[in-house]
This record gives sequence, C-alpha cells and structure tokens, in this order.
Amino acid sequence: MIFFVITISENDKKLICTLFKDNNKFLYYIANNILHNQHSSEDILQDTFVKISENIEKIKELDSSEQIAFCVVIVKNLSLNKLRNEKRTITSDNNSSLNEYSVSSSIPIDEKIIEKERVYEINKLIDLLSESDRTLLHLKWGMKMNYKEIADILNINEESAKKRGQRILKKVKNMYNERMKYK
Amino acid sequence: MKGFDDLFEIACGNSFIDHINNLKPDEKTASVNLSKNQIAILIQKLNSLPEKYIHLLFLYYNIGRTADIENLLNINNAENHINYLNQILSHSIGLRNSLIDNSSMKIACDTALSNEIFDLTNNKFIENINYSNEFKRNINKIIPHCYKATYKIFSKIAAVIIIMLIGTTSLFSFNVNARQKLLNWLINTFPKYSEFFYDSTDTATSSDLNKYNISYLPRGFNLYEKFESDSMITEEYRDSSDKYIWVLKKVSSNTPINLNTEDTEIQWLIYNGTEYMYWKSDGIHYITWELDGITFSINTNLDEETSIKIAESVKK
Repeated sequence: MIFFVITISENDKKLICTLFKDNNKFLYYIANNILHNQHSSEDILQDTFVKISENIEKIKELDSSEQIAFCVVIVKNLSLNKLRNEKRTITSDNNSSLNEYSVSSSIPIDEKIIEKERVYEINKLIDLLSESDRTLLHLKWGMKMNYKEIADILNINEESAKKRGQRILKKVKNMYNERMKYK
Repeated sequence: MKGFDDLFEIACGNSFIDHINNLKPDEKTASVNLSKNQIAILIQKLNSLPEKYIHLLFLYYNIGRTADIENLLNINNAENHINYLNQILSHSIGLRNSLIDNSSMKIACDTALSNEIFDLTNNKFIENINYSNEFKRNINKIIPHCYKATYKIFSKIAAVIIIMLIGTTSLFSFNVNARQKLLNWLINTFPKYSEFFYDSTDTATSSDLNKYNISYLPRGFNLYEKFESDSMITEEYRDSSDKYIWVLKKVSSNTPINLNTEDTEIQWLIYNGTEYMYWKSDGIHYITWELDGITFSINTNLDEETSIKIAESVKK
C-alpha cells in the first residue's frame, strides 16, 4: 500500500495528544537549543510526533517517564540529524563555489590514494595490538569518548587512560616508521 | 597531506567499524540478571557512554525496531553495536564470561535516561512559545484530537447507502451533540448519514474542479455519467459488471457533503501531507479529503486497496 496508514485507536490518540500537550514546550526547548531556529524546531517537533504515532503501540506499554524519555531521544536525534544535514549542505555549497573558482583547493587524487594506503597500513598495525589496547582505541576514536569516560568504562584512572592512549599511538607510529623504511 | 596522528585516528575509526561489522552474536555466553547494586553500577557506567549509545540502548530495549533506530541515530548495524556495548559494559561492571541480560539492561537504560530527563524537566522552559500558524495546522494533521474536541462518527440506524448532495444544512434538524470538529472537518452526525464540511483556508472556484482528474482507473472502467454544476462535479465510472467508482469534486467553501457512515469507524490516511478519511459501510469503500479548496469524495464497491489507489491518483 502506498499510503501511510494510521489506524490509531481513540485511546492511543488521546495518549499522543496528552504527550504533546504535556511536553511540547519542553521538547521544543530541546530542539531549539540544538537548532536555534524556530522554524526548524517546529519541523522537528512535528516529525517527533509522527515518529511517536508510528511507534504508539510500543510507547503505550512504557511508563510515563519512559514515554517522555522516548520523546526526548527522538527530538534530540532528529534535531542533531537536521543540524548535520544543514552543515553538510552548507559545506557542500561552499565546496561547489570553491571548486568553481579554485580547483587547487581540493586534495589531489594521488594524495588521497596515498592517504588511503597509509590508513590501510596503520589499520594492519592496529590489528597486531592486544585486544585491550584495541578496545581503548575503539572507545577513543571509534566511539569518540574522552579519556575520563574511557577511564570510567575501563576502571582505571583518567591519567592512566591518557598515558595508555599516548603509548599505543607512539607504539603504532614506531611500527609504522619501521615498516616504511623497508618499503 | 594529513599527518600521522590524523591518519591514525581515521584508522582507529575504521578498525572500530570493522570490529563492529565482524562481531558474531555470542550465543554461548550466558546472560545474567543483575542485582540492584550491579544495576546501580551499570547506570554509572552508562552515564560515561556518549549520549548516542545510551539512546541506542534505550530505543533497542524499549522499541526494538533496529532499522528505525539505525536511521534515527545515523548508525549502521545497530544489533552488533548493542552486542558490543553489552560486552564492554559487562566487562566494566566486573562480569567475567557472561553478559548482561535484557531486563537488567532495560532497567539501567531507562533509569539513566530518566535521571537526565528529570534534570531537564526541572529547568524553567519558555512558557510562551508562539508557534507559527503553519505549525499549528501541521500538528493538527498529525494529532487529530489535540486542539479539537473529541469526536465519534457512528451513525446507528441507517440501512441503505445514501449519497446525498444537499444544498443547505438547514434542510435537516440539527443535533448539537452530534456536531463535532475533527482537524478542519466539521462533521454532523445524523441518524442515517454524516455531514462533512471542510473549513478551508484555501479558495477554489468551479473552474478549478476540472483541473483535478483521476489518473488511475482499473482496467475495463469507463466514464459512464458526468454531472456538472456551479460548485460541483460528479463522475461515475463503470465496468461491464456491477462495479462502479463514483467521484465527487466540490468547492469546499460551499455546501457540505453527506455520506453514509453507519456503524463505521473512520480511519485517517495521511499521504503527501493530505489527510484522507477512509471508511467502509455495507461493502462500499468511502474516501474523502480536501485539497486546495476542493473537497473530494470517492465511493466504490471495488476493494479497499483499489479505492485508495484511485484516490491517490487524483491529481492536477
């Protein structure tokens, strides 16, 4: 079926309406704190309630604080996605204008290939590390956690986490330089 | 050219993605139900994770539709991320050779998020937000009951399908209790039918009516009869059997349309931002909607899917 069909019972409609009435200002505030734009924040609030309608069967099984939590998660992430898309649009717009006037500003393809190869080499070296070292790297650069957060997860202190991170970086760098000598 | 440190960061990111993508579901490792103390520690650990991952866990354990979650959180392979998070959190709270079970994880995620939201809700928010009219209109489409009174569209007695095009509402005795407003629709329920009146902000003229036409007709159907007046056009299409499609196009700002709603519940269909009312009564499928100041209504004894497809095909 091509239509987006909403067949929501009266009780579910009342629940959606209550969620809106009780939380719209609060949700708008969250969206606007991220987007700083009334029109965009209103768009996000609308999209949030479309998502809520789509998931109402699950939402009604949650208790009231979980329902609010769900609304917050949706509104925050939709706002962040919108912000990302807007930034991407601005960046790509800028790029297109730059490309038009200054081709030299873009990275040459051969440099990109070299970078890609280097990343590939470093990746192979990361594979040689111990699992605990790799975990730290994944938390730091995969999940973008700071050393304080990593320390909490790994049950070590922040300073140790930082030193370990630096030590691993140095170790991989040395291994990389060694390897490059023979290439 | 990027320096080593930058390339190292990229490589670490790639390594993480590879690790997640290649993670095999760990079915052999037992999941354990955590004690209250362990859950309290887990909540602390969750609070150390970036918000995105708390949201991922919360949505996964409460909603569970990973495709939706991936889309919302801009994340690939949500299921493997969940497994990975479970592994590092289990390890972090001191579990050896076992994982955290779903119910403990759900409790911890809900609590972690609720604490954060409690802090947020205790803030003073803007009391008077002046939402734009466009927003109010749109939110009314999404939440039909929000700004309008509740409604009920059940006619109890009618036995025969009646499609009446009545010139004025004054022809009928008016039952105030049955008069309800739904979105921009004013619906008066009478014993044998309901009267639909669209409170339109758009204006259309009779010349606009011919601009909208059905672009999809099931095979074998041809125009059987067409009737035009100042503010309304009706078209009837038939095939060689007893099947028919009846189409009404009417300037919204004029008179209401009256349709059989006996013992039916109206479903709302939203497509391309237009709200459609659909219901079935005595084997006849009804669809009514408003667009650009024109009220459209289709009824047919074909099936539901075809009737919706026909309605969808009405275009300029």
